Amino acid sequence: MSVVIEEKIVELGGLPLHYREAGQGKTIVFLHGAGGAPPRGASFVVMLAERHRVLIPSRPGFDDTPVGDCKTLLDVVERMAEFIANIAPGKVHLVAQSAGGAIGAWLAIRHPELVENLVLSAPAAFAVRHGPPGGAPPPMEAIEKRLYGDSPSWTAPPSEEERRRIARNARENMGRFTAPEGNGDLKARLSEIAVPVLLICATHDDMIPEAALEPYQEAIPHCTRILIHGAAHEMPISAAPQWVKLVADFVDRGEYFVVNMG
Amino acid sequence: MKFSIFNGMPYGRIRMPGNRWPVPNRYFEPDQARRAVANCLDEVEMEDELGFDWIACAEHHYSPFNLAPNVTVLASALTQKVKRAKIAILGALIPLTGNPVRIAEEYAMIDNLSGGRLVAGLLRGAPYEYLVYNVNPAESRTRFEEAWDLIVRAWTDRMPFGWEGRHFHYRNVSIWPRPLQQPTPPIYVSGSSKESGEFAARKKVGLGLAFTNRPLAAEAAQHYRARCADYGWQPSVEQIVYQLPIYVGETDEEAFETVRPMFAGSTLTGGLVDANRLVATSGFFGRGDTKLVERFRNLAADEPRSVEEAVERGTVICGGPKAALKQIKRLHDEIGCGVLNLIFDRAGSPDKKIRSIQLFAKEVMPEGKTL
Repeated sequence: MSVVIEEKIVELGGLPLHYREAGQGKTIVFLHGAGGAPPRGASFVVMLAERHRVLIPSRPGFDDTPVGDCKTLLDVVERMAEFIANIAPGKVHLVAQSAGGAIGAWLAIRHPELVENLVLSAPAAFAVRHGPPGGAPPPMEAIEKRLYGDSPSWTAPPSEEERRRIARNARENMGRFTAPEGNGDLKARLSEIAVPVLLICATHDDMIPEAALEPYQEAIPHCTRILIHGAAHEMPISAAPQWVKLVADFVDRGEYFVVNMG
Repeated sequence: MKFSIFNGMPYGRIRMPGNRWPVPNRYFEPDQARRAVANCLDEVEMEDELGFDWIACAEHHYSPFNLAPNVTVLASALTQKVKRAKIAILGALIPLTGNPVRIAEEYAMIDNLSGGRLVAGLLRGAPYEYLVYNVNPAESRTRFEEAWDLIVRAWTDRMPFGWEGRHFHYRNVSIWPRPLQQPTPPIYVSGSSKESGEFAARKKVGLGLAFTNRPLAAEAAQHYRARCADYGWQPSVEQIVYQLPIYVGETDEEAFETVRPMFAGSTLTGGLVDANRLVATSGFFGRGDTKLVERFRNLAADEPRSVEEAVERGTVICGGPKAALKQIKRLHDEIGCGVLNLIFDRAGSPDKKIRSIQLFAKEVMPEGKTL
């Protein structure tokens, strides 16, 4: 079955919110990282949408979605809750990548009525960000290698325009929504996440140190941690087949995910 | 320098026509196997008392020269006999198993059973081993590296984890017991190839050199040290192990005459040479290791044809105590190895083997340990 990825817009609070939609089946809401919506040629979207309905909202401030009156991380969380309630009423499967991790975790805490289960993929909330070192920033190719590794999975590699979009998203939004209560407050409330959580980590992630991932497994009552061997930080792209296999299996089988059923 | 003694639990001679591999087990005689087991377990007690630093064993398959297809089973027995020396597993062939977590568990058990005396060799194996469990030799390197990462992760991660790799898949790993030695027992990998030396340097672990010769081992050790420097560290001399057979006699003449019959023909059976050639030329070695591929293309031709030649090439230590010590010093100086893993099974008879071990321990080892 060929998968069509549609570009859509929904109006929330009088402002447009751009999102992509593909496939049919159980609804997966993919919460993107600091670069915004994944490159259009990222294979994982098609792979995931072969048996699932995949929604990829561009959060306020990212891509073509205006920031509106969102000032804090929790403002963004509420906007995402509004998005889910409008576009996919009932419970959805949240899949949160990197900077999307804090949004996903907060949604599970504040809106458990919207969340069936949660995948945290290299979540970034507790990673310490270092200020840019002196001198020129690293070339885009070096950053992409850190993100996507040696074997990224594309149906088509990102265009120059897309690469500029991703760089702009990261530049404009990194740190923009740091709430006064910060992620320390999130850490204190992780234990309130009642839904099953799959924490996926990359063994070759040089963006998020392992120590920054420990709080999730320590605090969340039903958290399974899986390492993808050899993967770089942006696992949906750096290790698409393994990552999609894990996510789809978790979405489809829930708590039976840990049982090998052939 | 430290001295390790290898105990492969050899079965002894078999009466088999031809040189085939695998060796048909129709030639297996239970009484002879009982003696082999008893000899091995008696000998390791003696070797421990004589002062060897490591008592070593290894995994090999389908062959009478080493009755330990599961090396941790043998190591487990050794822990109950060896009270002082380290138990060196050199090692399990980690790409061959479908379950590296089991190796992590078993090694951790051995470390616990021995009171924290495990030396953990995690090896890729000789080429022919890839015919044993039907493993694609071209996948040997990736299977090895993934299994290695998984085993070390299982020893060191303090929370349950799952694993999604190219070769291995788990949803729950949390081994009990963990190794006693923290963060891990001392780890060695085999390193005759450039890729292996690079891997050992990158992972900051020790290097084992076996089934090679002194010039090739010196080259491999130099490559390893250079790559370690590139990664910002220097290995200790004890992190380079060289393995070879040894026979120490009362005199040089007696030693040479004892060992000489074993050099009348190739020490490798024709079947084993063929098996090694088939695998070695099927992608087992990396692209930069053409020299090794060529060597395995005709391994028998590369074998020394005399004891004198073998001594000169550093593939055997043979002689009276003084000559043996001189050869050890040369290995130490040229390879830079800090541990010799010695195989005493070239003696021709069990009695001569014991005498050779005792002579070595009394007349060679004390001064050798000062190197």
